[in-house]
Amino acid sequence: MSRAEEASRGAASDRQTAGRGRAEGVAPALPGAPALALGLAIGLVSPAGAQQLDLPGGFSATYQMEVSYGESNLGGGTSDAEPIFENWLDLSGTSGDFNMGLRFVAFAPPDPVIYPDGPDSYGFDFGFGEYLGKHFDARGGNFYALFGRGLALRSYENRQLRIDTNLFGFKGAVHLPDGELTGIYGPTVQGNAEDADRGWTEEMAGLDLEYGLPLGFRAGGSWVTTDVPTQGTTTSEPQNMKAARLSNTVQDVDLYAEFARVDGPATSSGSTAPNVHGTGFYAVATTAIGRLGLLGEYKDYDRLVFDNAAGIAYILPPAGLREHQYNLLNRHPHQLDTRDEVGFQIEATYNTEAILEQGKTSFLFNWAYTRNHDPDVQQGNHFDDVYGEISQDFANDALLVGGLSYQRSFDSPETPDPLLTLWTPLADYRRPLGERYGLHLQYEHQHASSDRLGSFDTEFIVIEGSRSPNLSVSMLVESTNKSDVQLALQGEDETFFLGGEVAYTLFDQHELTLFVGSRNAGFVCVGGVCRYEPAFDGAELKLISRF
Amino acid sequence: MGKNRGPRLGGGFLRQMMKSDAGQTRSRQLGSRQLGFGLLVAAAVALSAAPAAMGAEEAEVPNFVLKDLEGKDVSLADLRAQGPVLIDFWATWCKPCLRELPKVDSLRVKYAEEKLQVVAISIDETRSVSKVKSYIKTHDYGFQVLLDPNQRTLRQLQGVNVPYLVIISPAGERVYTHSGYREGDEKEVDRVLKELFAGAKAGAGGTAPKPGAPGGGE
Repeated sequence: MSRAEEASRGAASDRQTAGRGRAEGVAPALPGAPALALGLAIGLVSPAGAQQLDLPGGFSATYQMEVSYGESNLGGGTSDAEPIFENWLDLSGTSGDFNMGLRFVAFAPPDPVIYPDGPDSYGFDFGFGEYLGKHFDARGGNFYALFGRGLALRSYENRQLRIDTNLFGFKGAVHLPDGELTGIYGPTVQGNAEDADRGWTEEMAGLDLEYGLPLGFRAGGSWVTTDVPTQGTTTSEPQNMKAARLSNTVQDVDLYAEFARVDGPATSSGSTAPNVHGTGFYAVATTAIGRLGLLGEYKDYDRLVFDNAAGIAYILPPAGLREHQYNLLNRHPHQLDTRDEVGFQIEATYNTEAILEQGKTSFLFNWAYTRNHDPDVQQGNHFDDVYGEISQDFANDALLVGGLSYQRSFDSPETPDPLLTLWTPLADYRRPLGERYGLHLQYEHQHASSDRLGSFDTEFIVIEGSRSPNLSVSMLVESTNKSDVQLALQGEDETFFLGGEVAYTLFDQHELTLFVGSRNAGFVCVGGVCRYEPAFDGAELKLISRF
Repeated sequence: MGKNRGPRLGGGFLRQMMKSDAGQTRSRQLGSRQLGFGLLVAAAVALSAAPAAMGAEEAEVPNFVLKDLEGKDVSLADLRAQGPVLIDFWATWCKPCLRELPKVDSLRVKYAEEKLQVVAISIDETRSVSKVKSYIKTHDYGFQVLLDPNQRTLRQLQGVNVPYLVIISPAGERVYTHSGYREGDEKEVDRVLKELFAGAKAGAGGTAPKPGAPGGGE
């Protein structure tokens, strides 16, 4: 994913002091040197003109590396030149119905936003062996698990977010004639995802059954338990999650509903009660009527917290939000808060070939609405997001997109809650130039009105050229008219950012991306979970290799 | 389950292969960091050189079983039994993926007689999986759609980002992979498929040469 595309997954935002400057005395040696040596080694060893290289005998490896050197504004007015080196090497092997996997990681140093002051570390942090059979599956070692839509259990890795909530133990599944029974057991992770030496905490056990019922219904039930510390004591008690779900398709309308209840010590709910319970309800209906697609989604999460003993969340229910693809639309994202959140999302899409003689026109409307259960609560989850988009595919494969967004959210956790309103028009144009070349122009403008900051405007521009299948060159420009006072209030000091990026793919096997320049702070958000990326000025190299 | 405990070993046994002392100091980690990097570089070089040294035997893509939009199980083995398989990993929130899907569907139509199996595997997670079916139906795509909500199959096939396209021969070899989408990428995929089918005909059902490989042509 190019920077332009990755940036579209999340972008600059208001300041959160997500991390502080790294500890003094970090080794000044550029840790990117070994990574560069690695990339060079790969390039040199790959014979000129050769095709992609594969490992023999059912083995494969995927290597991912990110190295950067530059100044990062980590909040608090600090701005230090910092090296970051992160890498993952996934090895896997397959023989018939048997698979194995091993992951080597190195963080030297880790990203200071992800793991502030974290020490350098490396080692194998993930391994498994598994059998995938016709009647059952069995796996030992590290694993991930998902029950239903994530209200009861969601253990996952998202490397973009730097989240890895795996378990270590056993996972098994029995394939029933019209369903599946899944069981898990094992300790859960504690410590930071960018610490190769992180440890394990209390075991988690769970069962999930999904089964087909008459009249097209499918029903499911989940149970998950783990011990968590009781607040104010040195002991721990069981925390139990139970969930039930039902789905069906009625008259071409797909329906899904899930209810979950958690009982146990209050870990992250903010309550001091020795035993609390939380609930969660999620329902969604979707249908397609010809070229018209409709979606309605409802969420109600009330103290639905299922953290392990180390305070790491092992659930991730649907956020009921649109995943925006444009930079400025992610400046003030809403982060899912399952402690106290109720809302809905509706979306309508329609595409037709009737407007232009050749080409397709598509319309999209989305409205996401989130509130606290008590609308008068302070520091709440107040978020409105309305987005409309028209896109036109032309006969020559060109694509023109126009969009308009209205967003309203709390600007900061202050009292009284100051509201921030954002209006964002955007335009996106892509067209092929001949057989292999392409041009991409993207323009976004955002007008912000804040009770706290006053008004300001931001422009974001992407100009990108590409040559299929292996080269793209892009320039990213951002400018804002924030005053010195507004910058100071947000802990910022720059109003203009300019960066260039080159992405090159070698033998369809090695993806190399180099970014040089500056970019504003931002969020990478996936499913209501966001990772903050501070403003950056320097060089960043990413490599993905497959063998 | 026991009462609250501190850090302890679980997957840590793997780390013991690298370290004998779990409580080692930071300075020691820094001191041995170069060794780790050196091993990494050596491993990468060895991996790159391995095919030449071992006769370049192809790796068979691991089988997988995923649900389709109707909840039915579909396995890679079943697809391979019908012909070469083109897999396109995508997501409803991924703009480049949505630009690529019509091109992929065109390839499905173009190579229908050659029994090319085209499968679009959605990695939409719990947050957006509900949008997959209506998106496909409103755009009237004819390829098969499978769901990989925990991205397990994407990782199995060495995908990191989407879109990620993989072509697998009936023998189970990974013939081609491509990550991302740029205007014109479909022409490269088309070229690869042409070579694949030409090789299959020339080999009378034998394993098709890899595009760009000796005999594969350019």
